[in-house]
Amino acid sequence: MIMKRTKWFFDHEKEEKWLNEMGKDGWQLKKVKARRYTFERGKPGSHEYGMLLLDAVPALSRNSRSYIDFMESSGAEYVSRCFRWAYFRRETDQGPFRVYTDRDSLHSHYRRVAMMNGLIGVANVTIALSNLERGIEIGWVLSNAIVSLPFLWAAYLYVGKMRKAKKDEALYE
Amino acid sequence: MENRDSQPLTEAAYYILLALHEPRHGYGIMQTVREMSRERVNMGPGTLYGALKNMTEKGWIEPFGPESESRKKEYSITDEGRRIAAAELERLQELAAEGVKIILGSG
Repeated sequence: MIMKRTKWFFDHEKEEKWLNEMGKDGWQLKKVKARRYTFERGKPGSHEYGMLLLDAVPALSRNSRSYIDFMESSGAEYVSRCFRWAYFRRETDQGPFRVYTDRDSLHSHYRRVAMMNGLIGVANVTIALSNLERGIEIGWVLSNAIVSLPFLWAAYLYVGKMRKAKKDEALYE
Repeated sequence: MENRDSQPLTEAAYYILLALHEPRHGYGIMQTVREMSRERVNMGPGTLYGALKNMTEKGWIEPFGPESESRKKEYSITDEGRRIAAAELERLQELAAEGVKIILGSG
């Protein structure tokens, strides 16, 4: 049995949480394509899901391919990919599955996500402004401006996560 | 170069250096660290990947053996890595000794 859902997340940690809740209900993730999730009916709670942000799509980056290989050699299963986000899962009986387990790596992960969203957001604002200046139809200007909003919001959200991850550092290694 | 010998290592970095006193691949490192810490330190693969990359760049560890290009890539500690791990051990011993004196009052 297959089920499809379309959903948009600003916060990938909420996305992971949702995927894990779906998994606990017996819907195991099969594929993610352009924010459309395909689930397959399976054993409830058999796997735990985790996501990571690749440097680039694997076809263009050796580094991304070797990252995926490494994840697989460490006992995780590569499920799917959507743009630069890669989805992995691991059997629950192998213990809790978290991709990042210390503040440093979590912090740099948040930074990468913030940068990616920030760049897309700023690029869209720049296009909107330059179109405005060139007197291009206001509809186009607005559409770029509107597209930039979710990305800028996500970047803001992740800068907050970076701060939070840094906060404890004065006391804990 | 800045002397960072007195800088504490993260727990994960210290355990990785210990684990690599024998050549191991990613999964082997995760398992070994788990065992050494009695299941307390469960290193995520993303964290381990980043740490291995950093340590290789610093010359503390290096790819090991003929499979160095494949997915079963193994790593091993270098002389520099051994020196870093030994310095950390010394630091930890000092911390522990002072703690024993003051907290347990057996000076």
